[in-house]
Amino acid sequence: MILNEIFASQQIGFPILSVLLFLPLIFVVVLNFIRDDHLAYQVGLAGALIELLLAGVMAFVFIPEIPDMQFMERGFRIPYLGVGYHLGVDGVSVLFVPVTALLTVMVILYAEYAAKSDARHYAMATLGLEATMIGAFVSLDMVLFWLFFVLELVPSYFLITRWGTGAQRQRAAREYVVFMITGSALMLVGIALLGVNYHNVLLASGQGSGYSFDFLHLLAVPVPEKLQTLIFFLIFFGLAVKAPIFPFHTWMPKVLEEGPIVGMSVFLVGIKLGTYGFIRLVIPLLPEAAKKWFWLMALLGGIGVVYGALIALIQTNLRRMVAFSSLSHMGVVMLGIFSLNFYGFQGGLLQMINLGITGAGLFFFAGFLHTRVGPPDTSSLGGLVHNVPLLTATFLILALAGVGLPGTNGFNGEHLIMLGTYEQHWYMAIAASVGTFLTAAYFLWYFQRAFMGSINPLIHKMADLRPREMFIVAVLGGMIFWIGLDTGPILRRMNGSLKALTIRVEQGSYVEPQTAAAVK
Amino acid sequence: MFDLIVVLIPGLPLLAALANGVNALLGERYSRTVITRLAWGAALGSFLGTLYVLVRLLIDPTPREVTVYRWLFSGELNVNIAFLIDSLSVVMMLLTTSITFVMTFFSVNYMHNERGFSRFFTVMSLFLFAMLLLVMANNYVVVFLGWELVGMCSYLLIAFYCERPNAAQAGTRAFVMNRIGDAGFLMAIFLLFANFGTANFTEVFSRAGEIGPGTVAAITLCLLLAAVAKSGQLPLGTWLPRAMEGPTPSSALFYGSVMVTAGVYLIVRSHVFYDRAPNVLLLVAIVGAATALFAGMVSLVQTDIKNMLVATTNAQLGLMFLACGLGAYPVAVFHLTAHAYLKCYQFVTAPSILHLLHGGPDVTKTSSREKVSVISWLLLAGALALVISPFLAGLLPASKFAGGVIQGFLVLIALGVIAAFSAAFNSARLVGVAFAEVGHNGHASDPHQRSGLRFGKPMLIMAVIAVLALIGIAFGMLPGGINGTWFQQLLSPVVSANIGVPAGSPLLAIVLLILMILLVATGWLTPLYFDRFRLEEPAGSVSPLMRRVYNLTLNRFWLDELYDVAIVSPMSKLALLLDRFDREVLDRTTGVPVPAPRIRVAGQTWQEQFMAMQSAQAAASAGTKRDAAIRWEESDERAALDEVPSTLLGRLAARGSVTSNWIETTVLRRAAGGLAGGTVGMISGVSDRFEKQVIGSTESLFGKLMDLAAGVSGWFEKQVIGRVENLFGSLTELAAAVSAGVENLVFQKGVQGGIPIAGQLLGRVLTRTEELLGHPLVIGLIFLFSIIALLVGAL
Repeated sequence: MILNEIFASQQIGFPILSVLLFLPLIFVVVLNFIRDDHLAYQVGLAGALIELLLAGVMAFVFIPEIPDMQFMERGFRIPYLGVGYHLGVDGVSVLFVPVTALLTVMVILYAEYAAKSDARHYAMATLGLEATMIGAFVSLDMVLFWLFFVLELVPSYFLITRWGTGAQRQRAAREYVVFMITGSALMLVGIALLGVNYHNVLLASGQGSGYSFDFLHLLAVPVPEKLQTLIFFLIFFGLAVKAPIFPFHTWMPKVLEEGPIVGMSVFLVGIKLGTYGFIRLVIPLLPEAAKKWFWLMALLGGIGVVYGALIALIQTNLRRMVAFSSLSHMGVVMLGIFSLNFYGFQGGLLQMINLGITGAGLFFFAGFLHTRVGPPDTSSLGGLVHNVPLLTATFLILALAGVGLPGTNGFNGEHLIMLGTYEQHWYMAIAASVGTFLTAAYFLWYFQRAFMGSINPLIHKMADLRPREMFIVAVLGGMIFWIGLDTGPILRRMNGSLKALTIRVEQGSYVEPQTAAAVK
Repeated sequence: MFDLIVVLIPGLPLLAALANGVNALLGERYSRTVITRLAWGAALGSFLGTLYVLVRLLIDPTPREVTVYRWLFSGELNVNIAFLIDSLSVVMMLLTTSITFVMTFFSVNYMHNERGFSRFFTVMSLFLFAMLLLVMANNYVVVFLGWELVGMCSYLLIAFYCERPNAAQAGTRAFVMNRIGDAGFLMAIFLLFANFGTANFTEVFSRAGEIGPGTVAAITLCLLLAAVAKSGQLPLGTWLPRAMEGPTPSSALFYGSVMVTAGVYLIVRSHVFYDRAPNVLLLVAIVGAATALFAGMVSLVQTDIKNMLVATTNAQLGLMFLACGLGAYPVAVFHLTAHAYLKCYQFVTAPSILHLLHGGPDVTKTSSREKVSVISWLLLAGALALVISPFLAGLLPASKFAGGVIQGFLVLIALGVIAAFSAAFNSARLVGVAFAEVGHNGHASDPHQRSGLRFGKPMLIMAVIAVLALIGIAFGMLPGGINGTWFQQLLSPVVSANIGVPAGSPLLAIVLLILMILLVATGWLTPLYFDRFRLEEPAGSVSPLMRRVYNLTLNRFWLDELYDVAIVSPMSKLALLLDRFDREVLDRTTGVPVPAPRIRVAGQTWQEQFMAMQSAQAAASAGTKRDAAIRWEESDERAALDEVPSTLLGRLAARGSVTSNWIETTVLRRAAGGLAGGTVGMISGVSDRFEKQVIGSTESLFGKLMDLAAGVSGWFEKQVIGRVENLFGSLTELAAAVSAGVENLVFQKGVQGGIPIAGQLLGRVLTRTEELLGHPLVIGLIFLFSIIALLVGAL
């Protein structure tokens, strides 16, 4: 599979991806020198807004319906290692950048509620996190991708330990880091093996030698099937831990329960770097292994759907519930991606974007509650309907989008996933169906316990949505219905790449043995 | 023009819902008159629009499509929001808009004292929009959109009095039960997409012959599941009685008349598929017959008016399903229409009577027949119409003997008989019970009662309802949906009757036959015998078997409880189990070892000692910020200490650490003072603790060595004080700075800053080091060596 490249200079005139990548970092440095907390918050917000604007421009200029790599940049390259600075986006990654930017804006907007004491450092950590995530989404060099994947731990760790709300936050952070480090170490081995394989192929075909971790280069060489399986599972561990996928999810409920009320958590629930890795890295580079093991991935996804939903059913703390709900939704995404057909890919990708809105939205909501009553446990809530109608409506909209009510974004994603799943393995579609019913059960049961019933005396003077919260809710609600009712622009941006991916999966990695030369 | 009006029919209620919804959320900004006018005005507009569409359709009966909006499209997948206007959808639209209009209008008065006034009207308008979407759609996906929205509205209204736990729970249950059906609906949609690449009615129905019988059976089964859940059929019907928690007007609209018929509509709409799947059609009939039997019996023993009404609705819906299953689709639609108006009427009059009588909703407790004869007659009229309509519908084909229709004839007779007896008994009982039987124990002096029908507006509404009842009666009297009648002719472009037991599996047919015989039997017998066996009657006067049957039906065959025991409770148990599994097993195998447990006495562990010392040092030198950070770290450590080790590794570590604990608690206390204390001592003078240790251990080798060292150094200092002092001082300062820096880096940044495992390893290494350093010999040797080194360096 050879993808054409469109350079940023042709498309927009300046290296927009580098700007997107480094702008937050520049703001991190700037914020470091601002002593006034409120001013720092404002500057951080401004930075996030500029970033969002740029990301929006990027997504807007992006040419839909073609599989090409766009806004390409090739910078320095370390020749002997084969590692280079190589950025670019295609239909798979383009939408994650604006979603990340959007969530960052909202997290910083909420900074003064979420981190009362030290909004400056909070904004710095958030922007740093944004930079690493955007870096992971735009880098086309696999080692660079891995670097950002790992670097993300640094701001995450600070966010969890410094602004975490639980007493066990240190432990949660430690566990998070250990999980991630272990997973990404295995992943690095997998990536290294890919580079080695590239080297071997070059040697074997007599085209010289040299390593490369460039995504486009790696696409051009076949990988022996046995090696594919090995690499597949190595990378799988890294991504499965990140996603997270059952049974590698145990860090997540802890981090979400003990971690900061929005900050980190919103990104964890919202930005699905793990499953993105599958569709970016694993399936195109290792199509044979993906075809061989798709059932296992789908099975884990299917188990995750039911397992997560069942556990979510009995949670009393909204944050913990959202963690398991996220696990369940991740299972749905896995089902979609590993149906290995066009609708499945489309649905999976759309659902990842959707989770950036609904999943993250639910966590924002948990944050709203947390700033009012402490941990959003049903024991400290009850009868909210009458006191805080806007908050109630917010939860209901988010929950119904999570359930997948038609007209909301959740429906479109789940619908496509189910369609893809049904074509590949209908019995998994049944698991997903059970999931939809359980999802309704746990959301509405929580709604019943927290929002209905008699009014809890603890919440008599609870404030309804404050202006900033109103803004966040309006944006999220707007996105929910916008994607729900007009999915076209989003799907069109994905289609080109996903069609190419479908063909790639059908043809496998062996069809173009001669192309390594072309790459050189 | 036509297209615009078709769009406006669901559009108006949507606009009203939006306007009222915003108002409800932002705290009732405009007056109640505006709210209600918006709501019923929109419904009226839709109704008038539907009339226009009906007229156009009567002029030219060809179905037409109106595409509104391209909704979901990707690749070959294309879902448009498009409407199909044919006689079936127009009948349903008329039904929906007219009843919703009347009910909205009625609610203005009914709801005037309630909290959440605008919330109620928002949902009513939203419901109208959703229901119209459901019946007008030209696409299964859009039907599903309406289907789900209707479910959501139903949820919002069942749980309307959400401060009541029962209402809240009933809402959740209803939604979740419906979700099971929705999953079936979704599966049907995917089957359609997989086989046709579209879910458009026109295309799908015209190409229905292309797919195999197995697929057709699967599609129809999935749709049946959806219909069963929505229309409260067995075995998913248990949410229906609970749904009575909502305000009465919404009960009438949703569960009495309009919403519950969506299942019947879905089956009639999909009749092309059902005709190709005789076994599933038989199943439809069986479900219908079973529900009719079940609900018919249940309705006989209910004492609460609303429950009684909803049970009869349920029974009538079962009969509609039965009619569908026997191929009599137009009969089902006719029955549906007539029944909707009548039930709506009954629902509305029943609580009015209760309001009037000032009693609870329990009909056995309401009292007084004074001055209510008008209502009594209205109710009786409604009951009569209900009795007559399906009966007539059933009698008519008797005159049309044709080959194979004999079965259908019998079937419809049976339908009529059952409907007649069960409904007649019920209605008569309602009237009788409410006004006659217990009238004597009423409180006649109650002023409200005597005022009787004085208030004007309810009477006006009642008049409207009476007209509605007349319409119902008219419908009932007129020939039903049998071939050749006008109703059938109206529907004929869409669906026609083909009555008879479907040629499916004989086993199913036999089951159906047994059920129908039972139905007829109960239809005859229960009104005669059943009501006598009331629980209050003395024991012995009733046969125990009948008493048991009575109990069974009174409790709706314990279905709800059965679900609780068989599904809900095992599921929550499973969830709890999984939660424990997640917390304990998964965490232990994949989790990270927690720090090994220490004996939790303050100041006893090396960590705590170290922290304390470090914080003292930090307070002295670095200032408060670092101090806070340490204390914070410390609190976390303490929290960690409370933890029982929860991982395998943790346990192992715990075993291992029993010994190291001892070492730490006994030896390291000194050791901690050893190296670090020594450093501190050199920087800022000798610390108390260090002194104590030195003094305390003078008898040991260490002490002696220390003495020696002190002596030597004292001598040395005395000798070369002038020359070396500067060098020595700066060296120690440097060393102190380096060690402080290292400490800072390793413990502050390391432990807090990202490499906890490394931190732990480092901690262990340091522990061992300190253990070593705890030996006086080692310390002494170190001192000795450093002094020698200094000496060598200096000389």
